[in-house]
Formats: sequence, C-alpha cells, structure tokens
Amino acid sequence: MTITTGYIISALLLFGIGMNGLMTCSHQLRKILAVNLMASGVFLILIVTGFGTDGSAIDHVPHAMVLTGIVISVSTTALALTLACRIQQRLNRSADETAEGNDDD
Amino acid sequence: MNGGLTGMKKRKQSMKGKFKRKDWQFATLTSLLIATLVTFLCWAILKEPPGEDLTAEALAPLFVQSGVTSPVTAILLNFRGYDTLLEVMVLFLAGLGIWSQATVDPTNPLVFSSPATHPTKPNFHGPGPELILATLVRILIPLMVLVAGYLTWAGGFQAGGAFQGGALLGGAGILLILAEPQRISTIPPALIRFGIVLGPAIFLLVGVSCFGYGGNFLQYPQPGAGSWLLLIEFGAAISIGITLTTLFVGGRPDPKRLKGTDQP
Amino acid sequence: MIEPASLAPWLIIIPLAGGLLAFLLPSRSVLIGLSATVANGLLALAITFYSINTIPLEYALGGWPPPAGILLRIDGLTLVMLTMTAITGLAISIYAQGYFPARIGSGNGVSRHGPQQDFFWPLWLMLLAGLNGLFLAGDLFNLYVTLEVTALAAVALTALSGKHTSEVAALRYLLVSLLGSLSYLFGTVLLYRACHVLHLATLGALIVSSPVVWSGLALITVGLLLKTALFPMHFWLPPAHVNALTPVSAILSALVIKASFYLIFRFWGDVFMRILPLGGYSLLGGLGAAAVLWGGIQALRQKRLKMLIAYSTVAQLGYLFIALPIIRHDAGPSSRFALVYLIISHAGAKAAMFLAAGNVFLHFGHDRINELAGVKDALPMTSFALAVAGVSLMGLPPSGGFIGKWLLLTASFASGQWWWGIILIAGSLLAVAYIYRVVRHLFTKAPGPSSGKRQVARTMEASSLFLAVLSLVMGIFAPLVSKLIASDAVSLASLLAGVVP
Repeated sequence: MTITTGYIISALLLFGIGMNGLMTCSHQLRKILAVNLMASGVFLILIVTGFGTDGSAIDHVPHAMVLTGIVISVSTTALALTLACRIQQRLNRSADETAEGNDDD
Repeated sequence: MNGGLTGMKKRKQSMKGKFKRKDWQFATLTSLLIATLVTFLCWAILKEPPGEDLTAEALAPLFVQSGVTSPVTAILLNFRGYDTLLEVMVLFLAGLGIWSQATVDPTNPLVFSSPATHPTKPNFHGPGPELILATLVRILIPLMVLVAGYLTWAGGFQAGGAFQGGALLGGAGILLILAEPQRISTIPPALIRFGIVLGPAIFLLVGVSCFGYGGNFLQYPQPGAGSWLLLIEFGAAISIGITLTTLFVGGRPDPKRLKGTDQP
Repeated sequence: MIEPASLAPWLIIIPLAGGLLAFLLPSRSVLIGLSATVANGLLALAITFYSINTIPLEYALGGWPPPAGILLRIDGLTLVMLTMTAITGLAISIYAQGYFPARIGSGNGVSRHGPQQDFFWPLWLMLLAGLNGLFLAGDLFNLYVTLEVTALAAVALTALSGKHTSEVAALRYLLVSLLGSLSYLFGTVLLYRACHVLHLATLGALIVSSPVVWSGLALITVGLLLKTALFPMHFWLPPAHVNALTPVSAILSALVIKASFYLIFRFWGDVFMRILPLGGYSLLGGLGAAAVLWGGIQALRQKRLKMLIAYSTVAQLGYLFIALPIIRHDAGPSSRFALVYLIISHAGAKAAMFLAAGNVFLHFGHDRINELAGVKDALPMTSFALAVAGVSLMGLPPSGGFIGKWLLLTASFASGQWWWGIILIAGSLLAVAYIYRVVRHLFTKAPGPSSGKRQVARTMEASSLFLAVLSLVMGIFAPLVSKLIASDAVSLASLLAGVVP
C-alpha cells in the first residue's frame, strides 16, 4: 500500500510541476517539456491503477491505455517541436536582419 | 497569457535581468493554485481505495479467444483494436503535420532548408562518416533491425509488440541519419510516403476485410486471429519506425534541392 | 434492407482511407478529397434516413461488447452532429477546391501554394475521421483518442498558411489543446479508478458521488472548456482562427469547436447529468453569459472582418453554455432542441461568413471593414451570403438562429430563470450592432473603380451562399431534428431514473 501511495504522490507532483511549467515558463521548449511531464504524471497514475494492492498486475486495460497515450504523446511532442523550431528560425532570421552582421549565435 | 513567444529579442531582454514584478506575482499565484489542486487531488485519491474491478473479471475468460497470449497485446490489438487503429493514425498525422510545415535539405537533413537564411552549414562529420562511426553503424543497424523484428513477434506472448519494435526501428533510422545524413537524398520521397502509409493502411485493410468474413469492423475471423494480428503488428512496426525517423528529421525533403526524382 | 448500425464504421473508414491515399498520391489529392467528402455526406444522410425510427443504435467494434470492447453509439444528437459535419464539410471542400488554384492564380509563388493544397486534403480528411469518430464514440478513453486525432489535424491545418503569425497561433493552440486533453485524460483515469468502466452509458449508470469522481468530472470539464474556448479561456481562438487559410478558418470555427462542446453537452446534458451539481450548471451558464457580452463587445471593436467573425464565435459559444442551466431545469425536450438548433445554425452561418470573408480578402487583398464599399458590385453572391449569414447570427426570423434563441428564451422564462433570457436579448442586440457594421458598408457604392486583385471562382461564392441560405431556412428541417432530439429525451429519462442499460 505504501508503494502505491508513493507512486500516486509522485505522479501528482509530476502533473503539478508540469502544469506549473506550462503556465509560468515563457520559453517554448520548456512549455513542451512541461506538457511531457504532465503526461508522465498521468501515465504513472494509470499504471498504478492497473496494479492490485499486493503489487500484482490484475487489470491490463490501463496498461494498454498507457501504451496508446505514450504514442500520442510522442506524436504531439514531435509536431510541437517542429512548430517551435520554425518559429525560432524565423525569429533568428529577423534578428539577423536587424543585427546586420552582428555575430550572434 | 500571451503565450510569450521567446525569440532572440525577448531572450536579450531577460538576459539584461529585466524581470517584471507582474510576472512574479502571476507565477506565485499560479504555483499556489496548482499546489492546492495537487494537494486536493492527493487527498481525494488516497482517501478512497480504488473501486471494485468489474472489467478485469469480465475480461479474464475472453483472453483465450483473442489469438494472442499476452493480455496487453490482446487488449491493444483485439479488444480495443479500434483505439490502436486511431493511435496509429495519430502517429501518421504527426508525420503528415510535420511534412506539411517544414522542408529539409535532402543532402543534409539535419539542417532545415526553409525558411533558412543561414547558408547550409558544412556537414559536421566532414566528407563522410568517420571510421569508428561507420563500423559501429554497420554492426549495430542489422542487429537493431533483428531485435526489432523479434520484439514485434514476441508481443504475442510477452512484453513487446509493434510499438516496441517500431521504436527500435526508429532508433536505427535515427542512427543511420546521424551517421550518414546525405543518404536520405538517395531515397525517393514517394518511397518514404509509402513507408509511412504502409502500417496504417494494412491495419485499415485488415479491419475492412473482416466484413468479408461476416464480422464487424476489426472482428478478426475466429480461428487464426493471431496471424491477422501478427500481420498488423509487422506492418505497424515498419511504419512506426519510418515515421519516427521522419519525425526526427523534422520535415519533408525539399523538392527544389532534390534532383532527378519524381517529386513535382 | 441495410442494417443502419453496420454503416457507422464506414464514417470512419472512408475519411481515414481517403486521408492515407491523399497523402500517398499528392497529385490526385483534390480528387480523392472531394470523393471522400461526397461519400461521407451521402453516408451520413443514409444513416440518418435509415435509423431515424430505430435510434439509439450500437455497434460493437471487433465484435466485442463492453466491458472488453468499444462501442459506436448512434442517437439523435449523434445523427444531427454527423449530418451537420458532413454537409458543412462538403460545402467547405467544394470551396477549397477553387480556393487553392485562386491563390496560386495571383502569380507569385506557385511552388509555395502547391504543397499547401497537397497537404490540406489529407489533413482535412483525417480531421473529418476524428470528428466522425468523436461523435460516434461511446467510450471514455476512445473519446480521448478521437480528441487527439481532431486536435493534431486541426493544429497542422492552422499552421498550413505558413505565415509566422499562424505558426505562433498554431503552437499556442496545440499547447492549450494538450493541456485540455491531458486534463481530460487525468479525469478519465480518476473515473476509471472509481468505477473500472470506460463504456459511457454503463459509467453514467454506475457512477456515485465521491471526491475522486468530482475531481475526475471537474478535470474532464475544464479540459473540454479549454478546447471549446469558453470565456475566459478563449484567448487562443481569435489568432488561430483568423490567421489560418480560409477553408481552415471555416472548419475550425464551424466544426472543430463544436466537437468539444458536443462532449460537454454529452456529459452535462446526458451521461453525468444525474450526479452533476446544480451550481456547476449555473457556473457554466454564467461564463457563457460573460462570453456573450465580452465576445460581442470585442466584435464591435474589431477593424478586420475576419477578427470580427472570430470574436463573434466567442460570443455565439456563450449561448450554447447559457443553454445548459436552462436544460437542467427544463423538463421538456424543447430547450435541448433549441441548443441543437443553435449549434447547427451557427455551424452553417459561421462557415458561410468565413468563406465569404475569404472571398473578399482574395478579391480585394484586405478585409478592413471600413473599406468594404463596393463588395456588392464585385462579389454579389458573397455580399448576399454575408448578409444572410448575419441574419442568422443576429437571430432574426425565419433563421435557424431565431428558432434556437426563441425556444431558449421561452424555456428560460418558463423555468423561472429570466436572467438568462435577458443575456440572450442583450447578446442579440450586440450581434445586430456588429453585423450592421459590416452590412452597412457592403451595399454602398465604391468611391472609385473596383480594384479586384484576383478572380474568385463561382463555386467559392456559391458554397458560401449555400451555407448561409441553409442556416436561414433551417426551419424546414425542424420536424426532423425535433423527432431525433425527442427520442434522445426518452432514453435520457430512463437513465435519470437509474435504469442500467
């Protein structure tokens, strides 16, 4: 029972830290990472839901749901990263144009 | 809630240490609210033991009919196969979405070609892969493909399956691209498209062909459901591997920089 | 005689297959896209026609009934949503078929617009599959997957215009959407912990109040509210809808927003109505009232036509939420019918307005409201479509918007909640004001000779006019829709009485 409690508390902490990061961080990469933290929290609690109090796997439905969730999370993260890269590139370009020769990596 | 896009300009500002007081207040307030939410959820979940599990009991006798012995695979591909079909489509959508947003230089896919203004940087590996890297790739890639095949097949009776196998294939693809970035320009884009579509298409076709056996959508014919599942798994694994690699590349090959291919 | 339920999976198979094919064969994407949307439209009409007397229907995917498998469920509301999506989607597709060549016709950057068209069709078909799947889903987790299919396709479509502003808007839309869907998933997990059931109808019958269940329902609701852009969570909507390509703006505003609202209606007006607190309904109604007023005032202040239309969406969404507390206190099906009517007439009118605004933008190269004089002479059908759609948004008779608002007004007074009625009237007055701002300029003569930049195809004008007229004469479908919604109310009554299906 204590192990399950520990899992649940850490899952909620992950979810909360992720949500906090999403709300307060201004950098897009951090926001994307924060969403992934939130997702990990949800997946963790889903895994715990599948286990009985004695730690044996009794319900496999949540585990199948986690696998589905992970693939969806990978997909959304990839799209978000591509969009963030595109936005950053354009900003770099406009910064380059304004800086005009100012070496600025 | 401006979504604060952080570009060069903003970063320069923050580097100067110009933190606004309002931002701090907002951050503190948000953190406090979230802390309250987490504490409440913690209390609510721990206070109450999980409910009586009716699903697990109802499912137990059905696993025999699923065609596989691994319960997770039985749920993923048979009982809730529709979820998995849509999930494969989500991965396809990610690839589709990324291809619709960005193009990469096929002679060096690690550099975005559009809307780049930086001149294409020379490949950091020099003219070709280094000897150690080349040898490593030569040994590792076939091994990874072999293990990926085994993992996919093993999903029928133990931990494993299309996603694990596909992830490994994706890893092999990424390794290959890191080692020999120019290699991608020799692959015709139509072939990549075909590879991305293959798995979802097989899944959909198998689902539709179940109508031919008088069943519902995705109701595999009863004796031999296992072989249908294996077909789906291998198709899915191949496409997942290819899609993950294209996600890593982060864009479609730029047709303007591609010579002698069928891309219009 | 065809078994109507057996047609249901084809609503998912056809768009999915079309999406895969359109990606595989980019040179044929227009043909594939149009055929798939036509087939989808015919199929939706056929299912509605065949199953109108036999709803609710269920279809066990994979032949596994719950709790092992996933059900598709068809009831009156599902049929209305499917048909609305199919018809609006078909008109938008016909518009898109002319739109991309018209953009290329401007001369510059053929190579830039070609890929946009090639990727529009597969993305739109995948979005259609997600929407159909969402309306048909009878399973809490399957809904999460369909929500994600819809969201990913919608985000990729938003960014398709390739402008910096639309990419920024798309990323913000994606992050908001992910926060929403993770919140939804967390809620699902909590409900699953409590009941160990994912099948919606069983869940609705089994569920009992407890802190975990409340938390789960609250998380699910907040997640969906974020995706529906209810005030004050609407901040992401105007930039995303305005900066997208015209057909995409129409799809997002008319259909995608409705998908997450449909779920809120499904949960608050149907599955979990038995245990949800009355205060929650009042809260949603209050936020809806704020949205009506705020969206209306913002729409009045906009200088650009597309921005005005986007803020009008924020306001019109408010009406849908005001309907929830009225439905909760109204015994008869008439307020449910009113809400459904508001949903479908807004879909038609809003899509028509976005398409018409797109025509104006293509032809004149801008959409500044104060410089719209002369649109009538250059684009007669488009200006007519804008005016007609405006009538429906204002809620003047005989439009669909009028029927919805009138029935809601009657129900709010009948159930003693007159304050919602006052908001409805205030919102309509605001709508009259902001629509008048547009229409006033449309029918004035241009000061100088018209300076058309690009030719707008007739199909593009016609599809926008078709949708506008459809939302105006929607009254003729009232008997059909009311029959569908009334049959839902019967099965709802048995759920509220606590009968396990």
